[in-house]
Amino acid sequence: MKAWLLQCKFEMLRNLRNRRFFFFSILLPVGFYFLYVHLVGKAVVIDGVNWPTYYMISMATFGVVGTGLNGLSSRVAYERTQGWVKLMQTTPQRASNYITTKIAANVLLNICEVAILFVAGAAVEHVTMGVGEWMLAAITTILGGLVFIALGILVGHLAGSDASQIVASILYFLMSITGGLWMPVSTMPSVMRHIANFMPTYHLAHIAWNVLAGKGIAVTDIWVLLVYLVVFTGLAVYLANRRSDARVA
Amino acid sequence: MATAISFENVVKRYHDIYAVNDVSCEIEAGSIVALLGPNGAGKTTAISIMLGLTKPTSGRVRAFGEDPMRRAARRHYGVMLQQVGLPQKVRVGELVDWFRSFYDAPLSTDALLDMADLRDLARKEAVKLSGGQQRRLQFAMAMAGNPRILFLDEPTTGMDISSRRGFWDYLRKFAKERDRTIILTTHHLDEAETIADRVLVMQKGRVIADGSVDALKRQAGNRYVSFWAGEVVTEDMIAGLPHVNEVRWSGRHVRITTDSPDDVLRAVILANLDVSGFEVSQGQLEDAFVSLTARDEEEDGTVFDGRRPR
Repeated sequence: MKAWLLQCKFEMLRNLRNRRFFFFSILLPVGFYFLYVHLVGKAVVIDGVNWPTYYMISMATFGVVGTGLNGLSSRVAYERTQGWVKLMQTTPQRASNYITTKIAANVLLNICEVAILFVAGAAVEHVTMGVGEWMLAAITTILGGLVFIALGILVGHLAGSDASQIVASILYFLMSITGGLWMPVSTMPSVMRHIANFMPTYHLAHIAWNVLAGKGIAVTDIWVLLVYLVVFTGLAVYLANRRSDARVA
Repeated sequence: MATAISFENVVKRYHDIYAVNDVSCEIEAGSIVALLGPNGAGKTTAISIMLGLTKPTSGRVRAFGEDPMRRAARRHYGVMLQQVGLPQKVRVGELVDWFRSFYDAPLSTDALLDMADLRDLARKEAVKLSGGQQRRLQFAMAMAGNPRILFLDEPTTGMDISSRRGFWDYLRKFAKERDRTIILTTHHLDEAETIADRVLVMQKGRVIADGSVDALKRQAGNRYVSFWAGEVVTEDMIAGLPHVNEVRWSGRHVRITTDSPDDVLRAVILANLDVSGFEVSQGQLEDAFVSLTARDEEEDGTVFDGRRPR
């Protein structure tokens, strides 16, 4: 357990020392948040939610997607292809520690990242919600982040370290835009609304948006996220096992 | 003596290529074993099997009586692999602590950093070290659990001469402690020669020679005594010396191939022959290695092509 916690700490530190992490997971979402709240105007209401609250959820989700994809994919790919994973397998630690510490560290980062966005919303843009709503929005965003952690790991198993960085960046922007995190889906053409329905990004933010509009939790959102989580995880596990006995020349 | 590693009829096959082909051997605890062989001979696969990274197609492998695929066996291991990219954004001291956390009774961080001569660099990011420094760091990581058995796959690649010397000096000290075992592969045969007390030569997945450095040199038959012979020395006088396998005359220069250069030299001097300019060679491991692998090639090169005959 001590070893597990220590490894978790190192995984955290590695993210915090990484400038990409600060840029994509903190600076970009917070910057976008302030910028668009003022460009669009505080009085606007989207799907029954006022704009500063709506966009706070959008950007918290956007940050969580970035942490999972950008933080994990290239690192997993690098460590897998450069012999690090192999070296870890020669030590007496549990094989699962390698991936569980990465996941745990990323969940912790997601918590920090969501907290920063929510503090920015509450303190600067005067977002007000009930305690239950704050908690629910935070918990769904953080847990929903697991889908993108799984996707980040999957990308890391599919491509080499340079390619996976590019793939992760493309997925990051594409899924965020089509999921309505940059601009609300209801302001987009109908074809975009149709595409959004298939995006885990849209469904993740939609849980909180719905709750804040007083509509309760939509079961579809949960199902879609669960299916994505299972598919991404299953594929990643399959690839990791298939490669484990590959030729060691 | 206890057995550190045992191989019983171990086979590793990739499709129809036999990377390891029916190898049986035992490595005693407390020995320093060098695994030599040309590229693609199966050394790395054999090490991977010992490490539990690769599951053999058939046969049985044990490390201190336990299956290396299980975690228990690996508590005793310290490992340095070839070409490992260290993780980014982690400091030298942190990596050492990271590895210490895997073991029940690790060596102290300071002792490990001193051992690798990296104490002044403890706060530096590991990937920013030079190639040789990274190798030394990997050695400290391998030593973290105070291992009973140390696996070194090409350990000195990238080290400069003085680091290399210090590294082997350290290993010799390590091996002197009771029952410490070292298994290494290296391209520098002189390194194997100075440190190993047993050499396994692999070729095409099999062990083609196994013995002390001395025995291998004898087996390869490249030991000789040579000198310049004076006018009065005849061919019969030379042929009558003990332990002479072959004599080659080039003008007045004589080269005697022998199993025992010492005895030939002694006999020449005791017989008070008119000779000068002695040159004595106990053989080089490198020559032994070349002749052993070449001999094996000649014997079955056409039949055995890394594949089994159909």
